[in-house]
Amino acid sequence: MFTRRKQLVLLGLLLTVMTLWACGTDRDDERPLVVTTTTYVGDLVRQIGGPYIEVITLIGPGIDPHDYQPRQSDTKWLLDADLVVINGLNLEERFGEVLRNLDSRSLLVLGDHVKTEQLLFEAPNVPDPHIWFDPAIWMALAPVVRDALIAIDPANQAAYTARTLQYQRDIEVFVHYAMQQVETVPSSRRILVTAHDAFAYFGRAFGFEVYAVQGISTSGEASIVDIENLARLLAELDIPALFVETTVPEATIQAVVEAAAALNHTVVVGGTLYSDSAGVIASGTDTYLRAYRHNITTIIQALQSHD
Amino acid sequence: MNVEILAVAIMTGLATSLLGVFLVLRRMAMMTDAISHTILLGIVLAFMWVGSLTSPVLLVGATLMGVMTAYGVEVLYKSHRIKEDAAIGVVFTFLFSLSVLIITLQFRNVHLDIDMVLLGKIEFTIFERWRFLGFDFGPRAFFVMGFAWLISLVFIAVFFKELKITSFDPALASVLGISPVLFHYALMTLVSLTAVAAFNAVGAILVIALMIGPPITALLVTRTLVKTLVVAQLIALFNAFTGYLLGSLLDLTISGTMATVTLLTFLVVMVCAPEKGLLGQTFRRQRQRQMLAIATLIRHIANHENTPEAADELDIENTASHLQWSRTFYRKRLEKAMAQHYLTVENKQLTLTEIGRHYIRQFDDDARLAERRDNT
Repeated sequence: MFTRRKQLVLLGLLLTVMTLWACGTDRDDERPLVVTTTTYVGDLVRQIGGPYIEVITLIGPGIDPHDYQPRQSDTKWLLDADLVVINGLNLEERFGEVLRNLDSRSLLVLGDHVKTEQLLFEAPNVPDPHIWFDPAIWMALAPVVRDALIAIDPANQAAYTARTLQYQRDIEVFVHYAMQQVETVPSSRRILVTAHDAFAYFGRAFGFEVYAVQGISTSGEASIVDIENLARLLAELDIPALFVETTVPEATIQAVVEAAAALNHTVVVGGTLYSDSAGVIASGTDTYLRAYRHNITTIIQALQSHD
Repeated sequence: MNVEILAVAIMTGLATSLLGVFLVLRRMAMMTDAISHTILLGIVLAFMWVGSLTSPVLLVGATLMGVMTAYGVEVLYKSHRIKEDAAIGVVFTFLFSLSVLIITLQFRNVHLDIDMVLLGKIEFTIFERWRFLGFDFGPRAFFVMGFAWLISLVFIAVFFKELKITSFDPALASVLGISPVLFHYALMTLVSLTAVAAFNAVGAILVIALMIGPPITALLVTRTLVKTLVVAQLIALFNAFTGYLLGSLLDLTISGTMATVTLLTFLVVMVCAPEKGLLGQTFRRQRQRQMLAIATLIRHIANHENTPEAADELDIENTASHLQWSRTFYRKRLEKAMAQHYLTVENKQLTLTEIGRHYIRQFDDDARLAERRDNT
């Protein structure tokens, strides 16, 4: 098919490519490498591991886990990792299940360590994976991460233990603050309307009723009846605001705003909430607590504004 | 560089492009696209039955629905009421909308999704191993795709004659007593099983590219079925290899680079192919136009030689305007005709040489022959 000269050229190209590849630098970091899937899991590990570990997050800020496309370097991180931490409960879909084939010693599935009575369920046998929005669950997972880090790096046991205690106190302080904020909204107004159903745990933790236009599956579609029912509910309860999410398009929520307007009820988009992913560093919402604080502030301000 | 990922890429490319040749020949290129959507219904129905997102039954449901899709299309097409593309369009949208309906009515709070059941990320196929008797053989996807490839190869080898006739001339096949229906159902079963296995290995969009890209590229340069099959395999190999290297070097998602390379290979072959390529065709058309112009020039001289108006018509300066040609076009054709000794210039008059006369006689004889052939 090819002449001899073309064969030589191809071979030459191939060798060049191979050499370039071989020159790629390997990791020169001596610290244990922990690979995590979502930004929240990455933050939890980083809070407890601090400067003693290197953390890689595969699914970056603003990316729906459903849309995640891996790259070659992600495979390399996973193969090199001393520990892989994932959210579990099917948040990472099939890919999370596949990772269970990794040496089980080096994989930590956070969802497996949540007590069944603490879980909320989407359907029988199908737990809601958005566990980070219940601060109590998240706080209880800190010691689980601590133990996993100690197992791969016993030398820094004292540091991991101290940092875990500190982080649990940070979460407690935040919950206290958030509760105070929530108190400023009359209990009849504590209703959260969002595009997709990521906030059930938030609702349980802070006493909000939660409605989602779309449901959890992104394969389903919000029907006209769904949208009209929700608009009627907003009008009846006089809810002034609903919210969009960073990982879900705004169109469905806009449809509800318009349906409510048809019922002579003004409802505004109260702001953007972080759902499946925290923000980028530049936005100042790159950690779990910062993203959560942003959500609380956004919700409270929007629901108060009509008083 | 990860040899195992490369192996999965190559094996998936080989297995899908082999069957893809028959899909393209049967005008069912978008069959894979249809299957990639309808398997959601299989997953939804299986979930209704077992109630768990991690059960292997969901994969069985997806696979069965893939086969059902192919059968549905085949049944509609065989009814001879609608064409292939329309049959795919109807079955595809019907089954897919059914799954969306069920999700919206029954499971709107459950994250039911194709990605729950099929991995579709080639980079992570290496984490699913095939272990047997305590020995780790390698990525499971490689063996699944290898198995699909082998079965397809055997099927095509054993039934080659039948496949060829039923793909190109179903009517003749029926006359000869070969049942096209049986072979098409067997072929479509293989297609859907291979497609679902490939969705798990590399993801839906890439499977469509892998199944269709190499066959349509091969069809640009080949004329026989065997050659098309062989060339499609070679192109699939090349695409998988180059796509993998590109994705690896630039650290991009490998399915993306493989699909891009598949398109680029097709475009390059479409433009540069020696016979059917766009460049070759343009060049040939140009040449034909020039040959025709020279023939016209010779005919013009033959017509006006030894006539009263010859002095004017055959004047080297006036001929261009008589033929309604531009001066440059005329000059180039004239130079070419003189270089080939069809004509000479004497006293500023165009004169045919013996070669030129012979050419025009030959031309007329050929035309008469053709006319006689048409009449009989």
